[in-house]
Amino acid sequence: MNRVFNVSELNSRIRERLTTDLRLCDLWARGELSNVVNHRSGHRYFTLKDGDSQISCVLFRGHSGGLDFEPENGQNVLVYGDVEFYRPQGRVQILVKAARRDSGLGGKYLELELLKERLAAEGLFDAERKRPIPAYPACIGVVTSPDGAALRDVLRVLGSCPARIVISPASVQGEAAPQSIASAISALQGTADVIIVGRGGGSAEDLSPFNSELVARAIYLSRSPVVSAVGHETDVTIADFVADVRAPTPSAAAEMVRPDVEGLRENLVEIEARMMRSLSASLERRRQRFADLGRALSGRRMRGIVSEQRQNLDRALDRLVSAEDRRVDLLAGRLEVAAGKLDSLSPLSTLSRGYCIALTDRGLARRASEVDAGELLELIFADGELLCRAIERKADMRWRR
Amino acid sequence: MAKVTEKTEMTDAASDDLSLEGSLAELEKIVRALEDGDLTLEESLKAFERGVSLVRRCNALLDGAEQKIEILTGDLPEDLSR
Repeated sequence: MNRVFNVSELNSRIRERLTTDLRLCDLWARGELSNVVNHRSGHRYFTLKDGDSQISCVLFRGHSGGLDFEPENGQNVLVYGDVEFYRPQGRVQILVKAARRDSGLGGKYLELELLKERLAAEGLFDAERKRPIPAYPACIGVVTSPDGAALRDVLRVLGSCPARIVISPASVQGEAAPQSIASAISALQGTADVIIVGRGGGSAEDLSPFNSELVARAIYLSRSPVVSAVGHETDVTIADFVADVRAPTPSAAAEMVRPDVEGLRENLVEIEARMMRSLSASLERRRQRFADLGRALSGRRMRGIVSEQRQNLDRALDRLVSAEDRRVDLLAGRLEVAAGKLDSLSPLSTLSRGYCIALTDRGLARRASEVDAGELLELIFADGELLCRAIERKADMRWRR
Repeated sequence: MAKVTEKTEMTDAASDDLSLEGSLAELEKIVRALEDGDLTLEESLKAFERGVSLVRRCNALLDGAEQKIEILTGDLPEDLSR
């Protein structure tokens, strides 16, 4: 007996059949646009047709980055996406992820576009992972054909720069080229601080190794930044998208990588001047500090400060003691202890133990070598000051450097 | 502070294979330390001496530069070997 489906079951079944067919996923379809509707939501609906066939298409807003043109009725286009079944309306449609104007491009081009989409989705082209070229690389790696014009251009521009140049030879043309280039890049890992990968100009076919997934992945995996330099200014390959920096030509790549020797020399002069300035500023600061200290320690000021503090303390103690609160008495006790400490720390109590402070007119004299023979000295004792003259400085070799 | 001195001495010993990039990075550090003014007098003088010797070394590297080419496998083509 034949099975009876209800519509939901039927549509689910059709949908399942369609979406599990891998040939109906990630496909390119070619046709003419009609019924183009740009919905308010940002989604785009259109019909793709040729001859007597047509199929509905939808491009959701999230995929509008996959468009490099504005769709209009009548355009011949290629769309890329998955076939799916829209159950609510029982309609087969293409869920479009990208579209290109069709100018009769061949299968190679579509393949390349697909690879680009895939690598981009994987993050190989991400701007955040691009690294800067080191300013002064110790070793520059060059991946190219040893017989090509590109190598000669690179070496000519690099000239006699203060860096090792290591050539990692690769064949840059033909079947084996992608593998050869990829191996040459990985051979430089750990040696080169920056790597130039490239070749001179040629036909699209000649440049195709630089559009290969192998080369793209080798560049992606490189631990040192890679500068791509493929063909002429107008040639752009997948290698250029993955590389940390794209140079329009091999000569331009060498120009970017070559250390700026003149700038470096100027920089060194500047560094030397800065060191000199800051050293002499620091010496001046120290001299100034000693002078300030000397002034601060001059006898009259010191006694002034200490006696003022004593009076402050006395006043505080008077106020505290007259209060009846026991907690205040306790605080007063602490203050008395503090006052005792202040006494024992002050230079005056040191002086009363028999020391004296020597001042010249430059400030505090901490070393005999700071005083010239014949110079006037002010000696501060606990009970007064003496004005003296240094008669002679006795050399004591044990203390000299 | 003691650490700074230690480090300076360590790099002193290894200065022979210090690259331009490494020398410049160290110079940058020295200039910053000197300009911050947190070093003792002795440390300042040491840092200054080290800095001057690094500057000299960089200039020597630049003066002595000539094209040094190596090839990883195989031989250099004739016009490139010397």
